[in-house]
Amino acid sequence: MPEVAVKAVPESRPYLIFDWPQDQQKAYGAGFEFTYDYTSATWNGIPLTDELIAKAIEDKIDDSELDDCTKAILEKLKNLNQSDIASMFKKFDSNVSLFNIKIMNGTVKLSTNVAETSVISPNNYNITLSSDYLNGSRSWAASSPPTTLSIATTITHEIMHAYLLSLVDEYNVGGSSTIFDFPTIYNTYVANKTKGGTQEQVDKQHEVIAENYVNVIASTIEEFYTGVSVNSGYPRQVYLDLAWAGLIDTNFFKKNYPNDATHKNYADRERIKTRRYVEQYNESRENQSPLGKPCN
Amino acid sequence: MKTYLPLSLLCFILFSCSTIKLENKIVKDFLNEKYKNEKDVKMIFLIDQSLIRNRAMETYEEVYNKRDLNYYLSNNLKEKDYWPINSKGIAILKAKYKLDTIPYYWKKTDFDQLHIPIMEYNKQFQESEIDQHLKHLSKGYKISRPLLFSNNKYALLDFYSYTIIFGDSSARGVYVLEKKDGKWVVINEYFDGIYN
Repeated sequence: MPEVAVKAVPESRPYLIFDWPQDQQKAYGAGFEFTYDYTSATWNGIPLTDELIAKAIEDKIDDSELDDCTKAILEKLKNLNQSDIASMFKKFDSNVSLFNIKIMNGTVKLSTNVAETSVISPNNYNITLSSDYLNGSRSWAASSPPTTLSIATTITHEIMHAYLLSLVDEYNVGGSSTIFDFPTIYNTYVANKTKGGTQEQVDKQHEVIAENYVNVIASTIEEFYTGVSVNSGYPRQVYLDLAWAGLIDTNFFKKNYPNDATHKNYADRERIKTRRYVEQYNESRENQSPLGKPCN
Repeated sequence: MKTYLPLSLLCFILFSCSTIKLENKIVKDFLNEKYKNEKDVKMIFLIDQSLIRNRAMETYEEVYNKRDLNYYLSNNLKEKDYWPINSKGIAILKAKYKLDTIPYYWKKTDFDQLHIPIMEYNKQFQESEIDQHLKHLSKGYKISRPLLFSNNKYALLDFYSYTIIFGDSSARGVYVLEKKDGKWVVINEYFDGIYN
């Protein structure tokens, strides 16, 4: 039998664990994109451009827990000619950050929400699309799944939340070369006007989206549906309606489309709500028919 | 012994009744205040199915554990006074309410002078009702029964409102209330970081 040595005094020893990189694995830092080459065992770096950053964001979208139909919608959004998700980010500001998003379908925290975005850790976000929403389950009427146009609008809206959260994270890191006017302005805006740690943070993001990005959402979903890029900068009304429909609880919307039958925009308000209804439930209403089709 | 048991049972029942009455009063004060501050919505309902009480504690704990993270963007979260329940208190309350995992169903008799009608959670709408809810973008309020702590001086509850037809949540939060001048008022609120 071999001898057994027993130590009476516990010891702690530091150690390192290395994860050896895989071939073509990418890493980012110091303004470069590095790609690992297995055969030469070297990292090759090239300066980051806006296009590379945008591509990196797309690559970092984890859709492994999405159903096939929703995954196909996301893929289509990512591959639009001019207003794909990556270039949509670029439209916000040319200095986008690198971050990870996981998009999945499942149970949302608040059971009535169609989708939710949350921060897992700085630069890492989850977007959950409600299975009830995707399946068309609703407590108050017969089952009726949404059209793909509704889902595309929802994904675009949530991606925008994740993007705005990434700007905040980027700002909080401090010293990053990618901090320019918009994140600074946005952060100041939120910090000054919002009581931190309250629902007001969500409300303020919705206000930012309503005031700045309705056309971007509308252009994205128009190209998603028609296959034709919106080069004029003026998306068609029906897509604008859908973009607005995700923001009907904002002060910006309420100010422009008040619940006042005598207001000049009242008819627009009614049309916007109805458009959301017909796409969310794939059901005609008030002379509007769904443009999109449900997944199955 | 024979008289002792029923007496203790009677005390327990009386204590339970007064606690339930207190909890209902807290919910009523909270909801009436929320309702009073609704400027744009004409149709609001309390959804009869409550949120689950121990989730309020879970959310509070989640936010408490993240209080130093920058993305909450506010220094007030780092102030000690903002957190009336510390780690030890969280553990005690979690233990106290750990079996509280099924929803309660609110009824009219729970409240005196609640300004909001109660709606059945799974109510099937007629076409005309859908019209009305869509037209007014009516809201549903969902709320948990409160958790009481510090000798019933404070209460913690979970609340959110949502558009009944579309489901979008708003006014989401876990709230701490304190009784002031005979009325329960919110002294702090906590957001769980869910964007919708």
